[in-house]
Amino acid sequence: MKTELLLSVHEEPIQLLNRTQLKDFKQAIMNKISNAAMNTVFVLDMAKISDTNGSGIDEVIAKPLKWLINEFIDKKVEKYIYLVNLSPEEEHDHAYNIESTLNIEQLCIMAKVEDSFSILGYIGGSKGSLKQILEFVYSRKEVTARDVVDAFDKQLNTASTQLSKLYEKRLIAREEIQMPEGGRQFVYKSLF
Amino acid sequence: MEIKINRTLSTIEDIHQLLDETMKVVKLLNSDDVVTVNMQRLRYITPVGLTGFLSVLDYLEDRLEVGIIAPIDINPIKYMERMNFFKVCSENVKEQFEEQKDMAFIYNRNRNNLVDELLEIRVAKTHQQIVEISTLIKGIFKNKGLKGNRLSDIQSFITELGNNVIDHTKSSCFIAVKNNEDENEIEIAVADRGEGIYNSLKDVLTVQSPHEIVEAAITTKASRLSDEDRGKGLMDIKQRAFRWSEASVSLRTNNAIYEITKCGVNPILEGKNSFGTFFWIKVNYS
Repeated sequence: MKTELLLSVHEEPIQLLNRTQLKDFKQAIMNKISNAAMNTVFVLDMAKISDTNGSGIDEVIAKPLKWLINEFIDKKVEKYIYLVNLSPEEEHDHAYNIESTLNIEQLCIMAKVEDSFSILGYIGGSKGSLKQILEFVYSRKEVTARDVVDAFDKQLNTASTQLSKLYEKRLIAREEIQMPEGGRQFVYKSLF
Repeated sequence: MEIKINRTLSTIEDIHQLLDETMKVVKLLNSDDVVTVNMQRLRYITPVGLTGFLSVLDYLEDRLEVGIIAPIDINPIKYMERMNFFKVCSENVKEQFEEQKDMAFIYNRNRNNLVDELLEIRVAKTHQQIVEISTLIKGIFKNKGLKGNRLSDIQSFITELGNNVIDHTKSSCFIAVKNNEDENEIEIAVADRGEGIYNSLKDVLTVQSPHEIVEAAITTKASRLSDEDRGKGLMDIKQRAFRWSEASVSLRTNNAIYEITKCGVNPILEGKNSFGTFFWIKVNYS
């Protein structure tokens, strides 16, 4: 997978506070995403973004994410996006604002936070099961359904379905590999 | 013909009464007739009341010749001056106050420099102005020690409601924020004199009653611009408001005041059909 920065360098951070003023900006992002090669992982550097509101997050994060999910469902386009350099609460409060907007849209995105990760938005699943598996993938970096079965005492079918859901939501990547003993299996990978 | 202003203009109920009175009188007038706004009885006005009053004046002055009878009590005039009313109202209104009262005395009072503390009435006509006002107000509350999430909420209330006014109406946007420090309470009012939520949405929704349309505007993604996948701003405001320790959200649009709760939108007082949408958010940060 190739990692690519989504925003070019701006002298001043951009405010995401007005949807109408962000139309061209969003279009530039969408063009970059749609023109990129398969298996590209986009990194949205939030250091280039200052104050935000729901409409701004919707244009610049939720809509591109929704587009990636739909492109995968419709055309099996393999592209992903995650966030880095979120501003802390006392400054631009990115995590809270992103979480609020993605909850309304029932979307979820991963953010890299120093050496760890944060899950922002609505992930779904019953009793936190999807969240638990997502955290497992990001702590291990690579897992198979069999690893999930061993770690959480689940049925293989359940583990496969749940990993597949996270993959469809563009939260983890997937690679099909040849097993030494014959047959093939999916390896699910964190985006960072 | 005369529109009489009550003794107080401080709540959304007061704005509702003012709109009722205004529409009752306007119905009887032809364009270019004279209407007098009689403020003699006014004793108490707040920033919230001022947003409603400014939007009514804006509406009237577009259609009629407007006369003013200033309040007898000087205190509301002093407060209106302190809130920058005379900087944002029309020259016509300002001149009539100056003819009737010693406004030079009021204008020349000693003012402490409270630019970073006092939340005066603001009027915006562009998205950029909305953003600037929200940034200024966020800065003021940051200096007062309000926490990050709550600062984001306040900025969202102002920008989402204000940008809606610019996007969906041809009206100016009147914004007031009042900090009741003794009660740890913040009041935010955003008013316009556009066509109102019902008229804006009635042709694009399958539900037809005005109350259903207003409810859909607040609780769903209903929008005149749904082809652009819009209409989430009011849902976001509702979600954010009820994260505060206490919150009340109400609006006056079409012919009614609506109370917005966590679970729904309820009409609480009906009156005459009028122009404008008036949001009033009260949040407590105890």
